[in-house]
Parts: sequence; C-alpha cells; structure tokens
Amino acid sequence: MKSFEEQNYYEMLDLTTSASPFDIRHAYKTALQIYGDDAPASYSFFSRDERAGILANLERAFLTLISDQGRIEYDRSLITAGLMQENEQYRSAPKKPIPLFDLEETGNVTRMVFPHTEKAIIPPAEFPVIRDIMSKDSLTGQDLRCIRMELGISLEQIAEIIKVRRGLLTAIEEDRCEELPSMLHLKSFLRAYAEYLRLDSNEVAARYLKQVSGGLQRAKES
Amino acid sequence: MNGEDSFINNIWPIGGGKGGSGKTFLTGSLGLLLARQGLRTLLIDADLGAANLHTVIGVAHPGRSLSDFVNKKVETLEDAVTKTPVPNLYFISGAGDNLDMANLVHTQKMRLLRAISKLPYEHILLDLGAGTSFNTIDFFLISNTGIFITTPEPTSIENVYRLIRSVYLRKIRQVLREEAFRELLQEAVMRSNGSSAKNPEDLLRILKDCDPVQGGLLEESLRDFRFKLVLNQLRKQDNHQIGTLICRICEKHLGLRVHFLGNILHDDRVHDAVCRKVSFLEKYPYTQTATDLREFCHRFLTDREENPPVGPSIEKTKAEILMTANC
Repeated sequence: MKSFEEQNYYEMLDLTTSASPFDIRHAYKTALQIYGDDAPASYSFFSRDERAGILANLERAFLTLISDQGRIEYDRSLITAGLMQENEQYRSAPKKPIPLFDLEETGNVTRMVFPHTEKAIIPPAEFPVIRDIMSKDSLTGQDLRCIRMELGISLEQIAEIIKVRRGLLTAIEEDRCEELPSMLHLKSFLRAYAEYLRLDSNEVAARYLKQVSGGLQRAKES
Repeated sequence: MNGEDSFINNIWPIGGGKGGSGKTFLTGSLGLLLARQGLRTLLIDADLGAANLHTVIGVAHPGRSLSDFVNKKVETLEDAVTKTPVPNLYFISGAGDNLDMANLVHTQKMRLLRAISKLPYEHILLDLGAGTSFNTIDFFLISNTGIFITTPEPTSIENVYRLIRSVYLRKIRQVLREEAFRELLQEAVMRSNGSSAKNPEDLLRILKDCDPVQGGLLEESLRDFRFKLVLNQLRKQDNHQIGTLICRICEKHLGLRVHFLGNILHDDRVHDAVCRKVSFLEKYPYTQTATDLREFCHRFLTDREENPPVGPSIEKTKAEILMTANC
C-alpha cells in the first residue's frame, strides 16, 4: 500500500488515467466530502497537519488535471516515468449538436437523399460561367444574379429558405445601396445567400461588401 | 454436522467502540433474521461485565451463562447454551456473572476463544462491549470477519476509527514476535524524535522500510481481513454516503478491506420495543428500519458468498472444482 503522498494525482482522486474532466470534477467533490475540514466521514482519523497536507495535495492534483495543458504535461511526466501507457491518455471527443433543420448537413449519421435538390448538388465550380465570376476580385450584384440564374434558382426559392425578403435580395442584386440594411445584417444575408448557392460564403460576402462599401458610405452621408 | 472437528462455523464479532451505537440491538435483530431463514444461529453476549443481550431477545432469566464456563461450573461451552423462544436461535448469556468477569485472565480468555471456535453452529454472533480493551479486541480478532457498527455522529465515528486502529495494532502484535515488536516500537520512537508512534499504519510503514519481507507478510495478513461496516441510527437529513466514505478511507489509508453493508434508519419505536422488552422486528415489521435490517441481513449473507472467508472452506471448494473438472 502506497502512502497518500506517494500516490500520483490520479490515484489520489481514485481516477483512471483516461478519466474525463467531468469525472475529475466529480472525484474532487467526493474527495472533499472525505477529507474536507468538516467532513464527518474522516472525523478524528487524521491529525490537523495530515489533513492540511492531504487537502493541499488534492488541490494540486485537481488543478493540474483539470487544466488541459497541465494534464498533458503531467501525463507526459508519468509516461516517461513508466507509470502510465501512452494509449491510456484521455482523448476529448466533444459531442456536436445534431442540426435539426440543416438539410444538407445531416450530422455524422447516414446521409439523406433529396432527389429534388439533386441538381444543386453539382458543385457550382463545375460551371465555367461561375468559375469565371468567382475568379474576380470583387463581386457586383449582377455577378450574384448571374450565378443564381446559371444554377436555375429563382429568387423566391432563396427568399423562402434563407428567410430574407425578396425585395431586399433584389436590392442586393441591383446594388441599390440606399435600400440595403446595416452592414451586420447585409453580411449575414449575403452569407446565407451564398451558402444556399453552395459557394464559399465568407469569400462572397467579403468581395461583395468590398464592391459596395463606397456606395454604402455615400448612402449613409446623404 | 458429523463430528465437531469437520464443522466450519462463521463467527461474526460485532463491535463499535462507542456505547449506545446499537451493537446489542443489531446482534439480536440479525440473529432473529438468520434463525428465521432456518440457519442454526448462536448469539454470545461477550460484553463482559455489562451484559444485556438477554433483555433484547426476551430471555429475562437465562439459566446458565458464560461465567459458568469460565469458572468451570459446566464442562463444555455447549452446556452453557440456552434455548430462546425462536426456533434455530440459541444463546449464551453473559448475565448473572461475577462482578469481576470483566477482568478475564489471559488463560481463561484463550480457553474461551478456543471453545467458541469449536461450537457447532452455522453462524455465531458475538456481541462485544464498548471500548478498546484487550478483551474486546481479542474477541474481535477471533475471526477475520468482524462487523463494525457506527452512527453518523462524530463521537461514534471517532470511536469506531479508534477501534479499527486498535484491532490493526493488535494484529501487528499477534503476527510479530514479542522482541520484534518491541524493536519496531523503539525504531518508531527514534524516527519521530522521541514522541511515540500514534498510528499503527506508520508502524507498518517503518517495518516495511527496515524489513521488507516481514513487512510484506504483515501487510498480507492485514489484507486477509474482511471487515464489514453498518451505519446505524441514520436520520433522514444525514449524509447517506458516510458509510461508503468510511470504507474508502480504511481501504486507502489503512489497507484494510471493509465492506459497507448498508444504512439502518433511526426509529424511535426501537426505544419503545426495548422498553417493552419485545423484539422490534416482530412488533414493527413494516417500518423502514425493519426493512433496512432485513436488507442488511440479505446483503450480509450474499456478501459472504462473494468473498468466502479464507480458510478450510476455500480449499474445500477448490477440491470440489478439481473433482468436477476431472469427471
């Protein structure tokens, strides 16, 4: 039997080396129930100094293991000391939420088939017209409209899916700066629009904004 | 039961350090439950000098008692056994003994312990006294399967730890030779700069430092213990985990196996039943406390099957396994 001071941090907290941060928090809470200053379970078992020493050790163990960097370094020191195997390390695999309405991204579950949108599944970059437009440095509303027409998508279709008024989309496509919403909204609308067309949404938004920024500035001043 | 020599009985000393924690009540209740299951059970009131188990199980005037055996008024310990109103439940009283019964001499004690271990009953429950006197601890060490009982109060927990450590120390003393033990104590005093060693686990650590072989052997023999723990008189607002936590502390810091057998809820009606000198289980069978006691008994029996006490019984099962394998 090892004395408490000789135990490694995992042993102090009664954990396996692959314990998750949730387990670590739980184990520390339990340990405080055992060793805490007012814990009835260990009443009179330890002298005051022993208890203070144990609590200090536990705190150090908890703070080391709960910090990602600290734990990696501690694990490495255990592995080099031969007290732990490489494959026993904890690997975090955070769960992602499963999208409810995102029909294209069906999570990691089986990919669903949508025969009616099959056409849109052809990558837009396959179309020569779109490729030409996308190679430009800045995009006008006319360019966006061209892409949309090339893919055979009506304005109504987009408006319904991305929940943006048709009039606004027309204003975007016609570069009518005075009718455009605030920069923040415009950016998010553009991204939604581009995403629906399966384009690089960040690129499209940035290039379009670059083109209209001068017009927007003027519209604001007037 | 063919001949006393081949019979293996299970001896369960029940101790708790503090008075009033419910040792006698638990012994009586467990005995009754075991007897109801058809197991031949013997209760021994080993609370020398302060016996009252007879009152709890409703035998107000037992004819014979332990002191008759100690003073050689009866030939064998079997002759001191009294029947109880419950079938399968037998009883050796400590009542009506001489007033100096508490100060048993060593030879008498050894004779008594030997006689107890030869009694032909399936379960023998020893109701021990409070405190950590040598008598109590020697009775506790009669088997590896002692039952500790405590309440959730700090006073009781303090005393149960005291008892556990005393048992631990006594075991070290039993395993080591007289002079080796004295040397160990001296070494411990030297290391801690004059103050005598407080905890038996420190002694074991020092022994392992000086003499790893002997220390390893001692540690092994301490691992042989299969203690159990019951938490009695738990109120609803108390922490229900205390028992499990106490067991973890013993395992982690003393290297002793202590298995938690459950909580028993506090009930004022226990007091009523004792005052009326009737069995609580018979008078109030449908209370939570009675359910807890039955569950405790069930766990007590199943737990035994999972970890059979080390000894002849294990060898027997091994032999049986070999035989069936050969067939």
